[in-house]
Amino acid sequence: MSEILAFLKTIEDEAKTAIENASDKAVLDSVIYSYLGRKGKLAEISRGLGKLDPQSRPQVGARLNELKKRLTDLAEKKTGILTSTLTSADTFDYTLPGKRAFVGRRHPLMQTVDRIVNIFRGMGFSVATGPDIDTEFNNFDALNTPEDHPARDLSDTFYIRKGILLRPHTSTVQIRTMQAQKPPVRIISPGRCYRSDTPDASHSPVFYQCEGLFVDEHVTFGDLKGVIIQFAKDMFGPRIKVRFRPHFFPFTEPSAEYDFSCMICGGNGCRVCKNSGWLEISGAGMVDPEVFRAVGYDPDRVTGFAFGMGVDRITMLRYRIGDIRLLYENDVRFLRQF
Amino acid sequence: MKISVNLLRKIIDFDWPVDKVVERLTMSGSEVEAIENKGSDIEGILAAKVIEVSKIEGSDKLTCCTVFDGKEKIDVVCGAPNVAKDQVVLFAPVGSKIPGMTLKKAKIGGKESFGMILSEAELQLSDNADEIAVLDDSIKPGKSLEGIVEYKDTILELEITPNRPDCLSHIGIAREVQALGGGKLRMPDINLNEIDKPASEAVKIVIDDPDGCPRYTGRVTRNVKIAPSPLWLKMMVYYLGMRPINNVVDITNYVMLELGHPLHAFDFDLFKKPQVLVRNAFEGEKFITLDEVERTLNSNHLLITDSVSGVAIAGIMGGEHSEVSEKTSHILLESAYFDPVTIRRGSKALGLATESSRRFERGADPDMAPVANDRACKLISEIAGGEILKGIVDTYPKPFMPVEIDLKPENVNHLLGTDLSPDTMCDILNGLNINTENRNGLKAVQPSFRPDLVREVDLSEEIARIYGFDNIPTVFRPGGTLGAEETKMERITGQVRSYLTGAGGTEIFSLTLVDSLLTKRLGLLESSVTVMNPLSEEMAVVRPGMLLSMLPVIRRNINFKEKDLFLYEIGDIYLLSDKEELPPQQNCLAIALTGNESPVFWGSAQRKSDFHTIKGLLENLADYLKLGKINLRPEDYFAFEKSRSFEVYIGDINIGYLGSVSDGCLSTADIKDKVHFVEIDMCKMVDLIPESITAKELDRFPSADRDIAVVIDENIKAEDIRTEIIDSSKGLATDVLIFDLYRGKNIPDNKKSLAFGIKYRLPDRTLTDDEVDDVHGRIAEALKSKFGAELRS
Ligand SMILES: [Zn+2]
Repeated sequence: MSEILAFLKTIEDEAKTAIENASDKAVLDSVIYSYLGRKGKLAEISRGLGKLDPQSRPQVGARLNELKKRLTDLAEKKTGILTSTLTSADTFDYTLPGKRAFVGRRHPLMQTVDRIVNIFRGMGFSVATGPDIDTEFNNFDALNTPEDHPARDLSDTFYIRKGILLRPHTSTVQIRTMQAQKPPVRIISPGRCYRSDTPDASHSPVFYQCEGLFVDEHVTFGDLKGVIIQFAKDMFGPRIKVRFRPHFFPFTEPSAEYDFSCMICGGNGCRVCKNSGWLEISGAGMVDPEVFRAVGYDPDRVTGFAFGMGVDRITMLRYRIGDIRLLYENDVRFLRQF
Repeated sequence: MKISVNLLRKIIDFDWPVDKVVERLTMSGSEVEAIENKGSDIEGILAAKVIEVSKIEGSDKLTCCTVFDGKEKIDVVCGAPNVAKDQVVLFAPVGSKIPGMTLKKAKIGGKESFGMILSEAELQLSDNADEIAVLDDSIKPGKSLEGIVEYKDTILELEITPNRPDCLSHIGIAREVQALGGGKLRMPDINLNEIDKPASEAVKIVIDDPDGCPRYTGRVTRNVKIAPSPLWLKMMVYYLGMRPINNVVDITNYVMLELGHPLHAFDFDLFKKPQVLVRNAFEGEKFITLDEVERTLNSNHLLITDSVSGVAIAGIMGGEHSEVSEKTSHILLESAYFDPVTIRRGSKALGLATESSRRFERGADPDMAPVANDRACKLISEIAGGEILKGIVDTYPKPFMPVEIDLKPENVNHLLGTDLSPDTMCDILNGLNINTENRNGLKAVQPSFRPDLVREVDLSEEIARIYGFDNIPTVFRPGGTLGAEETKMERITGQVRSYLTGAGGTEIFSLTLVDSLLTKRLGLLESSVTVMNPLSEEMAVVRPGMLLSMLPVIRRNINFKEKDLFLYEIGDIYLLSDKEELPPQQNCLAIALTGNESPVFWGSAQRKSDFHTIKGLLENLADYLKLGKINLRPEDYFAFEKSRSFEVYIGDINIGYLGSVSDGCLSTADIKDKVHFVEIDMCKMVDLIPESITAKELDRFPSADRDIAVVIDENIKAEDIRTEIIDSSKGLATDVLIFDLYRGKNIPDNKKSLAFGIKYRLPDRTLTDDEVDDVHGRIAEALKSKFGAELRS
């Protein structure tokens, strides 16, 4: 008996679809005829009831009558629609939303990393990586950082144990690369960094940096300027201006801080740039000879430059994000915007 | 460091407007962080004489005063306790301006008041708000404030880098201005009037630790009168960020700000012996500093003593006992040079940083010590009176030995990419008061105020920053191809991200420092890398698995009613290892699903993500990456439900784990919804992906498609049946799909029905019906005998 009931269900689905899809009165009439007419499918099944065993006959009969009534009602309704002034274009509601899947998103920070990598790849830099947890030697000693420099303090840097720490910059990768490879070197090293900063709108204890290193014979401060300026223009558009201010870092000399003209106000001064027209980006400079000595390069033969940048900061400027924590909270309402 | 433009102009003549000073200093390395215009909102203030004071009835504070402003008598109500007849005071008449207000006629205590007698604080000349400012009697009523004190000033807040202690002073900044072409520096006047009695008879200086204290100078001044400083001095000290105390202390601070050298004045009468002994403190020695705090010293601290007991912690802070007070009349003025490292360690050990320690620990100028002493004594004798004993007692056991630096001009140009002449370089260095001669290359002598200049490259930096980074020609090199290829890892990582984003996944980037409590509750703390000095327990563990940072992200989003999540992250996990120096780091892909599989749709009901959703996602990804077939092997993983916990294999290689997060784990993470999760080791996965793809020829002959449905025991796995179908087809079954799983009506308990669609195919011809019937039958037989399968039609 289950077979016949299943069959009825199939017939019902077919008939409903045919009625729904009938585009005019003539088509509908022929559908009605083929299912509900005297020689239609339901009549045919009705005639076959006699062959069933007497016990199941009433049940199937009842289902058949139900079906007949449902299809008749449906056909009448459809007839009403088709004979009214409404056309099928009127009744077809194309404004109902489409059948969608979830839309995926790339994290804005990762999009920025990709963009940075692409820009520098175009300038001949390859990507180098290294571990987040590294030795004090790679983090500080090799970078000419004095023994009692505050950056080494427990209040500034996270330690795993004595001599092993969570890197506060990706300069470790520069050291590792130079230790492993003879010059020339042209790399960037994007990656997570760690500093013991209480989280607020502009600080996160875990953050994302990208550093660059270019070592060869005849690399000059003029080359450093060229690379940073090219990057600024590729990242933020051709109107961006760059300025270099002398600064101090133990691992470079001369050292500079570089600023981009404020992309929010176009350099005219606004709240974000504190009315200066400039936004401080990060530090750069010519690699200190002591660093070359620490990795076994000959400072009389090669020169080089290094630079850093906060990928979070670039991302925040790129999308006008006011709070760094948004980048690390992973609220999908935020991520959906990118 | 705060710099007063007025004070700067006293040391160097320059005609630059302030904005040019700001620009040039910023662009040469002393960044101007803030500019304060002092006195710009003050107008019309003048000196006036108080000619009458009377109490106002019913008020114990207010008085009614009559003042004379040089032209007329004016009534004014005053609330200050120190107002008195015949004082010359600062007066704001009606219509004048003080910071924050314009004076108007007012009624105070029932009396009309036509102006205001001012305190220094009301004019922001000092922090003294308790009393009115009383001027020198010699000042004539009617004299304008401009004529009394140079209160209009511009204060620049400079960021001084740690290598430039010399710039923590006006003279240092003046030297920068000089080098930048602003004018010529001139030293302040230090010509003293001394009395005949020699200072060397009044005080002896003994240095026990010449490494800690290479130089100590002392001068003795008798019969000084301690009093508040004159207005100009108070104001300058206050403008530069310090509190005015009294004339002698203010002078020591003023000279420190002017010349950069910290000084300390002792009440010499309180010395038990007229002998300074500079020695190391004893371990645990107690000393009360002038802020009335008892400090415990260690043996690395340098203590200034009167040869009996301590009088100051060298270079950090003086002692309470010998502090200059109103009673003081004899002064010993110390101007010493202390070792930077000793002061830095000492200051750190005490947790006490002062204006003095900040300068010594970065490196003061040993040759400035006597100059600063002379300068301060000159001002003391002028302002506080007193007789300066003849001579300076100067103990200098370790004289400064300047480094002579050879500079090859071609090296400088080579480093900077410039074409500067040796003469230009020479001029720049001499402008910075670095004595340099141009003979056969440049020879420079390190100045005593520049501890940072010892190498050629240090001088290159000086040349670069004074020449101007902006003036160095910018070079745009062609890109080149130096090792800039993309690694397989980078390429595949990009593909994974594109695929998952396209499939609807949201990429997250979570913190690698995770909650120690969550880690502990999940039983992973013992096997995790932990931070020795965490900011908080919530960020104390370096994540041992991606799930630990994923779960809090899921919880956060669910809390904000974002319940349908498909999140992924490519990041690192960190493992504990006894063998390796550094904890091994593993790059991982993590995917988590929770809630509905797809967005709400009006035409059909939503389905929840489940185990097979995440499995399908991984299978799709594997397919996309050409990774090969994913096999799951049951394995208990701490976070997963027992029956839904698997290791992921490609062939024999375990690349990760997949499963449904257990209720216990979810409740630990405070999540109520089901979460399905997979973590894959990126390195292992990438290794398994073929380097290249070779296109296959397409099948030229159509397949014969047949279905087979079998009823089998519940514990038989679909994959085993599927494998058997393929094996027993002798290679004819090229595709076997499971298209239905049915339990219920007509299927006995503990049984299930599985339906397979099979494509039979030969590469070189079409199969005949007989052949297909034959193999299909063989398969049915095999399933029957191996699994007791019952065919269902
Ligand atoms: Zn702006």
